Amino acid sequence: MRRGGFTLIELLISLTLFGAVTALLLGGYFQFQGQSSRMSKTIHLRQELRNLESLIRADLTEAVYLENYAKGAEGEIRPSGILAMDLMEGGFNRDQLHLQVHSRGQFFTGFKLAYNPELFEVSYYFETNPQTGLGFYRREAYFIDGPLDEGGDAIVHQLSKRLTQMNLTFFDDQNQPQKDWPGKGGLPLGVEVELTLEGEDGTSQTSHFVINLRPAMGPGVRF
Amino acid sequence: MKRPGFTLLEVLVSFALLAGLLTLIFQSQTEGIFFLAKTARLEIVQKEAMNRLMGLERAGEMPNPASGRFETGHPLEGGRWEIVQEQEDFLGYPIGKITCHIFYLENEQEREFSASILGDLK
Repeated sequence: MRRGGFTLIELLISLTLFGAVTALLLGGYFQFQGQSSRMSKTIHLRQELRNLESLIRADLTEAVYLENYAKGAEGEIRPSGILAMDLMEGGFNRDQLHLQVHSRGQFFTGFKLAYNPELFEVSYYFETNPQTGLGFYRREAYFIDGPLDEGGDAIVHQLSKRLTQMNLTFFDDQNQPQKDWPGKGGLPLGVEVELTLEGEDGTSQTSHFVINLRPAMGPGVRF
Repeated sequence: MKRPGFTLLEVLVSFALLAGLLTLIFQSQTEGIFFLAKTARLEIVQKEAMNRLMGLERAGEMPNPASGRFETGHPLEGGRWEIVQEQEDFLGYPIGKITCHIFYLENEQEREFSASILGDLK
């Protein structure tokens, strides 16, 4: 009588097939895992970039140049509107940006609400902390209690630990690009912002956007 | 007498079914990744078009030249751009319409994205 079960040949064939199918599937799976992990990191970086972009975009759009404040009491000219410095710190383009904005504060709610003139000072800057390393911060100060780039009651938020560059370009009245903006003589025609985020694995994502503060054309300007 | 256990054919069929099902799952996941990559690319394309239109809006005049190719190192390398000015009729009033066309490569196929602004140049 013939014994039940598989013969050696049947067993070998099925094991070989099983091995081949498993190898194919595992190969596909690991490739998929790698792709998916890369994509997930990219999505997180882009999401963080979008959040930073929407904050900076909202603040820049609300920037105002205050002529009376700029003139001052004794005829001195104080920086107003937008004050930006090109720091070029350690070979990186780490600009500092200080703004006077006319809007409700993004985070300064509740304070002096009854007298709220809807004028705030907002700054974006990089700072290196010995414990946490390089960070990108947003400072929102209740207007008006000091020079545009310092002091006063303020709320400071660390916006990102991964932003490595903020590169600003300002367009003057002749539409010529400038690296700095002195905060004198009004707002620029437009601002170009370039943000670069660097992930833990060394991958980087860059966002590049333009905001026009005084456009020469467009809806509502001339029709 | 019939032998207990599976025949070789049954084992092969079950492997084929398993492989087919797993392939389907991987395929749908891979498609998901493909669409995410496509969205990320579209975001870059849309931003490029808007940035070019913002530059034009700031200057108040057509760029010279009004078309070009994306240079090496640009995220849309291999693609090209074109800005076209037209006049549109809006309830009998002429309105300027400026459109930025971005032609970019996706899987070696050329795709087009366009964005417009309305207004008159200087």
